[in-house]
Amino acid sequence: MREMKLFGLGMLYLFPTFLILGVFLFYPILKTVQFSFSNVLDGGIVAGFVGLEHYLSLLSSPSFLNSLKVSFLFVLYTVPLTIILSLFLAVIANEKLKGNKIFQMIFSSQLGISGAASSAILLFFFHPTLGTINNVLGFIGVPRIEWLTSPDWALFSVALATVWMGLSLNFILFLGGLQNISEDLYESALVDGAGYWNRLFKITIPLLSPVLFFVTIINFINAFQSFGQVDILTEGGPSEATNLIVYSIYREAFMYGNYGFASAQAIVLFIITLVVTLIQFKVGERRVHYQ
Amino acid sequence: MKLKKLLFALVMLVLLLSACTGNSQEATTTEDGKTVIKFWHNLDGDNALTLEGIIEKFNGQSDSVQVKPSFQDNVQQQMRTVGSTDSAPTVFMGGDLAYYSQSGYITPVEEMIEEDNSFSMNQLNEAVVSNHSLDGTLSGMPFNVFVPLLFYNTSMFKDAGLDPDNPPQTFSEIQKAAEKLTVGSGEEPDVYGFSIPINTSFIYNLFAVQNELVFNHDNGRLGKQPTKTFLNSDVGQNIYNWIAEMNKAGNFGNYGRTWSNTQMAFSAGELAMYPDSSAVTGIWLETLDFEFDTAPMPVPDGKEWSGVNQGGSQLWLSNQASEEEQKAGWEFIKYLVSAEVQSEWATKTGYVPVTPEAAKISPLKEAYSEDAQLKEAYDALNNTKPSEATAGPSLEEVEVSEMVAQSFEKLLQGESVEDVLQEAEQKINKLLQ
Repeated sequence: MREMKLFGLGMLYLFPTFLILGVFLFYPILKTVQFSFSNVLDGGIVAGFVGLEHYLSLLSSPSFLNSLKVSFLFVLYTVPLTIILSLFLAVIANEKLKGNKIFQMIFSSQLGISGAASSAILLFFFHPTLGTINNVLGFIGVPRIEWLTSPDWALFSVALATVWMGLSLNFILFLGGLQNISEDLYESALVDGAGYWNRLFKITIPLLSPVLFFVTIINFINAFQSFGQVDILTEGGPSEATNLIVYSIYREAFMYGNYGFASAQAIVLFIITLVVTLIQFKVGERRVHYQ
Repeated sequence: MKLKKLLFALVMLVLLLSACTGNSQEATTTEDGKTVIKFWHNLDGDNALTLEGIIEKFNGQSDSVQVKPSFQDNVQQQMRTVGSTDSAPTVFMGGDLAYYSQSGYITPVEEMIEEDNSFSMNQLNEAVVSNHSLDGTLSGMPFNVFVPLLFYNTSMFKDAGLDPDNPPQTFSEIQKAAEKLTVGSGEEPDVYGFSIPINTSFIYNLFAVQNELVFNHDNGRLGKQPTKTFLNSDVGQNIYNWIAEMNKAGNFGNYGRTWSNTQMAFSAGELAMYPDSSAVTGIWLETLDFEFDTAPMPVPDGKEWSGVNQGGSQLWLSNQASEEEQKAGWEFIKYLVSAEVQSEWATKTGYVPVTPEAAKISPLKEAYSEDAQLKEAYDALNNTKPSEATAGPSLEEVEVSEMVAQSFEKLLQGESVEDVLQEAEQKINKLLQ
């Protein structure tokens, strides 16, 4: 009886959370699943069940297959680079030197700029003839690069923008992890005569592995879900070179009105993200050292 | 006791949530009995300020209607989701004739015009009405109409030994001028002679200018949707070849998808000529630190200049609003296209007035005699010979536009005209069928 009462009480406490999650998370997810099997009209009116039709046309859509390829390339371009760079910044900002607080502030200051604003600034940087980057390159004699107007460069440029935009958050997470590592370990290592690199690879990195693992996973997910920078910088072009999955979903649903087809893409993206994350848990977690 | 409090809080939360979704069907009125209507528009910056000024004046002078404007970044996206619900605004501004006309959630303004003795179709510019009618019906009220024009930097013309009062009018004249206007060597000129923003509307206009259809079934304007494109015809090949030649010669700047990048190059003096909407004339008159002029869109050699597509947005009445609200909305629409308002609107923005009377009264009368650049757009509109070709394509399939833009993009990346057009034709015909 008491158990029952406790259970009821617990449920009551959870109810607000479930209510909000239900309205803003579970309901949209279920709707997306339903849409992906239906013919959907404007205003979200379900006009009929079409079974796997949307999924089958996904497989034969060159545009979607291209989006898949581009998204995986994009992950490859952004995730390792972001992690390595921000880890490097966190390690040097964590050194006990005068003024390291200033650098910590500078390295994390990017967080203060919204993704849309960053992209708008970068649009000026990447302009083919007026852009800052090309002007600097021209000054040292490097020929103009068609950052956003050539299909060979565009994805790389968007990736570059994404790396820059993601640095600060990763930096803060890494710095937090680094500052959690106990001083004693370093002191005793020093007594044992361990050098700087030994300390870095034998103490810092292993003890940082939970953070590293977490950062890797959220970076993968973020990279798969990138949208704002693509929308502002390239609109998925040129020639679909930067048409990442989420942009493709947006275009299909809200520009072309193909809600069902877009929902099917969303489900596929969900499955890909899920599988990639599961693989990371299987492979990655064995190497993670929890204190 | 605690449990009760918690329960109470929860009940309040549920009530709050349900209150958010509750939306009464009744028309709201102000204390002094004015009908309040919602109005969505897609303008920002200076043009939005001008529009809000006009709305304020309307609210001040009307004793039955109160308009509440709000900016929507993308009206079409919003309307796709709420258009057929009671959250739809009574009046909204949108720019896709084909889509809204068949959306099922609008009341055609022509119905309102027929019922209203104080307003007649003759008050509107004939060219504008025929351009905005689909299958003979005017469903949305044209409001901010613009046409494409050729913009050029007159001081660069003088430097290159060209006559700014005699701008290039044909494809070959543009090509020659672009060559002379390009400054700097080899692969990286400092100034490009010519460019066209990567946007489907310009390709469509290059068809319109020579009175050629882009799609079968009369460009989709007479009730039947097209099943086939003429993009890969002699006409299309001629246009694409013209662009490709200038591009290969290094006289054509490629500034990518972002339209404003082309505009930035022009305003920074790195681009001598480009086509743009007449709606930027007002902004260029205010902001450019060099002299510029406008000319009609160029036409292929030996073809007669027949006209240009009209772009812009229309005012639409939602049929989800109550009859009272729709009447109020119609009053507001009538006000926006009255000669006085159109005169002020066209002067401040550079849009073309939809009411011919507006050009005969101040302030537009004075503006047109002072700034020839502004007048050029009005002339281009009035010189357009009404036809399905000059009115431009009207497609329900939005994706086609993306396909055309991609073909243009690929052309500039150096792919051959035949490949680009064949691929585009194939993809578009597949979409249309």
